[in-house]
Amino acid sequence: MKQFFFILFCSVSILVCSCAKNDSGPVINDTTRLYLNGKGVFVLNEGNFSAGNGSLSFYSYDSSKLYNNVFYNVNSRPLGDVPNSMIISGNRAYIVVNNSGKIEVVDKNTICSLKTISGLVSPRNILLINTDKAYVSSLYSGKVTILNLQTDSISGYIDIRRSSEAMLLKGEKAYISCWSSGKEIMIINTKTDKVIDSVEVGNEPESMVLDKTNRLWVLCSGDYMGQFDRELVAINTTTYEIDKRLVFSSKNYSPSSLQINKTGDTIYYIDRDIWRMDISSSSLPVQSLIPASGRLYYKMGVDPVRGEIFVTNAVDYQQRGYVLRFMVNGSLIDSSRADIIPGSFCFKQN
Amino acid sequence: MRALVLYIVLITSVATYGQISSIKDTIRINEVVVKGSLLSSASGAFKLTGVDSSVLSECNLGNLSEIISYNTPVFIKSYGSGGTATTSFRGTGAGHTQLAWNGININSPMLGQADISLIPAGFLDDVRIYYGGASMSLNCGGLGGIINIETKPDWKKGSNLSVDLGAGSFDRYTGMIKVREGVNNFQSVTKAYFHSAENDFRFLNTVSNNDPFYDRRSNAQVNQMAFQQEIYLRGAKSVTSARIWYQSSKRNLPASLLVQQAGETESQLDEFFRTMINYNRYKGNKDYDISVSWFSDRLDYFNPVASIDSRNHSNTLIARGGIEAIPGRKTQLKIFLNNELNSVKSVNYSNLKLRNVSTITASVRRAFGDKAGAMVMIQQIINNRHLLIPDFSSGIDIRPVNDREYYLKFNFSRNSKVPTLNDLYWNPGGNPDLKNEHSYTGEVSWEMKGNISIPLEYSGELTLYSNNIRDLIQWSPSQFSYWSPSNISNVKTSGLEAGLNMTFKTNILTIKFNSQYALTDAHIIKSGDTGYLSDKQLVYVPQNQLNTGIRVSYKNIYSSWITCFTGRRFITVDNSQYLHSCTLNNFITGTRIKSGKNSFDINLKIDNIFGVNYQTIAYHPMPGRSFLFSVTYNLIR
Repeated sequence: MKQFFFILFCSVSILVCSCAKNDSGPVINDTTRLYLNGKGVFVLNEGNFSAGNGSLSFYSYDSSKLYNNVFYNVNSRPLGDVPNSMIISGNRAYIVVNNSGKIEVVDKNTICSLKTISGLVSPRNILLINTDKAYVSSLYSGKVTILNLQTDSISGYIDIRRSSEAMLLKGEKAYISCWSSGKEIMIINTKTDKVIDSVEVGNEPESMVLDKTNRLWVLCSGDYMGQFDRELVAINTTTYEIDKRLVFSSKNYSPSSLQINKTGDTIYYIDRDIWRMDISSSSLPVQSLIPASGRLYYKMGVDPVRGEIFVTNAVDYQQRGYVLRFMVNGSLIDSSRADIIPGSFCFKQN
Repeated sequence: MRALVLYIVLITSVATYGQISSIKDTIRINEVVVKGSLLSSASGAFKLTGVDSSVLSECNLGNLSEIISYNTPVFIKSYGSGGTATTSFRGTGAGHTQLAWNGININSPMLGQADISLIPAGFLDDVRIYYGGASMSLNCGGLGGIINIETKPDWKKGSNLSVDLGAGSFDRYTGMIKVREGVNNFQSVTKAYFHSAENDFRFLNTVSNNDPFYDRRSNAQVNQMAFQQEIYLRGAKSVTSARIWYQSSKRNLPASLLVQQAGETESQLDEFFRTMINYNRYKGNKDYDISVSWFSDRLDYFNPVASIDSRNHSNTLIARGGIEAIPGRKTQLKIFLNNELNSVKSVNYSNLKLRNVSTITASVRRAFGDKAGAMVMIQQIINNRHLLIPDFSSGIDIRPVNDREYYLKFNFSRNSKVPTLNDLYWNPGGNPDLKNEHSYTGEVSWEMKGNISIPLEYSGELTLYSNNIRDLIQWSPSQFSYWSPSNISNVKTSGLEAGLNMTFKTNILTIKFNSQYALTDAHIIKSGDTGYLSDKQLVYVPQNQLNTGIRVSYKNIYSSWITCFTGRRFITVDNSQYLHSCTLNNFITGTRIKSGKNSFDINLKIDNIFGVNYQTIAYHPMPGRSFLFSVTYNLIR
């Protein structure tokens, strides 16, 4: 009988000692305070696909510091899976979370969640049409979603029958690039929400900017098989004719993240290094502005007021990346540790 | 840490108790052979454990994932009820564990891993786990280890019918029929299994709104059916067997809590047909074994939203033959050849892919008196006619005390794993220039078993190991927005495993206690050009894991209580985010009623009895308290 109690003692001891606090969700360590009331730059950390570790960072111009996990710290829940883009409209900010199929509506100065717009199919970017309306592009659905910004709800769709990615507004026309397996720029009348025309450019138009002469510059990233040229194309927005077509010499890399300076005369893009080109140039630059030097440049943004260049370094796409801030001439101002796969920027001017 | 200290104290106290007992009494060898969790000397210098037969019977309507997670130190990464479940041996990845069926590798040649949630527990007669270098005695590629599931004949004359039906929470309905018919030299075993569940369990959702709320899991339905036929023929000095196994599993794949599924949802079909013919002949001091297996596996994945219709079909032909000889009483020689031919047709490959991997393994074991033994093994892999650097394994086992089953073991191995076909050919991203992964594993272990007194037996083991994996293949995002594999990392895992089993048995009362603890330290020691995370634990590798179970059987009534503790698991490479540790408790009780040739077993199983809200993979909730009521009818003639 003594042995019987001995076994019971062993069992109960181990059962008891194995008791532990049981909480289900992941824990995110962060003790930073928020400095959201001033000017700065939001950084969308994409995180790893399906891992749910996307987050929002904020670079404060006041303190020259980057604050991570802003959304989580304010709302006590994760932002979602692959936050991809963000815009500010009035006092509200709209954060598009790609693989979560949703848009988080937050107060731009507190990041307090105001509403979650769900039911979107793989949303990518958001374009502010006016104070009442925005468009949301989609990787998979073949439709551009129309948002009513007064009610923060989906008000309709524009069927373009193609994947949509970058969007740009000029007057009453919205230009939408068809990135994944596409090669068109769709032109939409923003009053009627109808497709009125399209322009064929290079393969997989990834990003667009408008220069001071009203030309639409489109960066075509090619394809992963290396079959198609990587191209930089300029479109006349009056005639919709291609004004300039510059072909990259190598198909080994995929140029991305086309940006333009505040005066609209110089464009920037990532092609392993950071490149700068005058819009009047007849050829692609041969000398990079900022060499990669071991960094893995992922996304870029140019402050439309200050002109500073923000670039993210995704490192190895697994550990936390960096946000690098450069002067217009390419000299580094500072570098801050962001979160996993820091991607797009959203500039907060007040 | 508290658990670790107490555990070591307990193990030490058992040893001390045994010493006191040996002074007072003469230790007698018990006539009854108890199938414990430790096979001890049978494994020579290596670590090889089994799963107690009572565990297999209580999980009859469950799956292999449940058996492994509740009864071994192997960590199971599960996406929840109906979702995939893969293994992590000693901090290694799912692809470093091989799943073998009667010694034959059944890992997918595409993925290089197996979903063990799809293996019906009732189809298994035995489960053996080969740790580290021990896996080389079965096959190559198990850098973490091999789980070998076995089906065996029961050479009894007569027939046996078993019908097992169960119903439980979340609209779970499951059943199994086994029919055995045989005479002294012929046995036929037929098994059929079905399982369906809605898996619409309730859970606490802490991430979709600012305020937590109770939510219900959706799109997690699973429907599974399986059939297995075994035939055994025994000659004067030979056994011939033939087995077939068909299985089909259709399931919807629930998304992460952070992914709001719009429109049609993801689903997957896993279907396979496996055949195996084996001939074993023993003559004098030689044992010949030949087997031929053919597997046809289909894995189709559908994601209507992303327009993905991924259809994959593989055929595998494995021929294996070997001879084992004992030329003297103290020397054992073994040589075997394993040839695996894979043919894969996939919409994700540019064309049909073929691969042939041959493995030649030779080993010699020599005993030095009754107190020591040594083993050396050489293994040569030929991958599509390319000779790899030979692997090896060596070990020493010492029995330091006369008349005691105490063993001190040392072993050191080099083991290799060829890349999977997905690693090489997946379009886009596959990298045909990948090198094979290889590991160096060292292990020291102490094993002991014996009787504290006549009704109380014990066995225990303590193992320290270190595993250094070179040229680890990792998939990571590339320049073109898709993922691609490369040999970018060296990983070191090291740790401690401790196990304790005790059995108290009288005519009417049986108490079995077992417990396993694993301490795992796993981190990257080199990662491409940017490696500076050497002090960080690998993601989804718990540092601490403890499983404890007590099973009591009194006359016709039996009950089991199983407690599983899983420590904190980091979910980001810089260890900034993690999943909390959790403790789960399961309870099983039942009664056996016998009437002549008929018997009934009425059983109630309660999983997660305290309704703990937990996740094994981030943002994939696991079920709370759930019930399974089952009735088994047995007819023996």
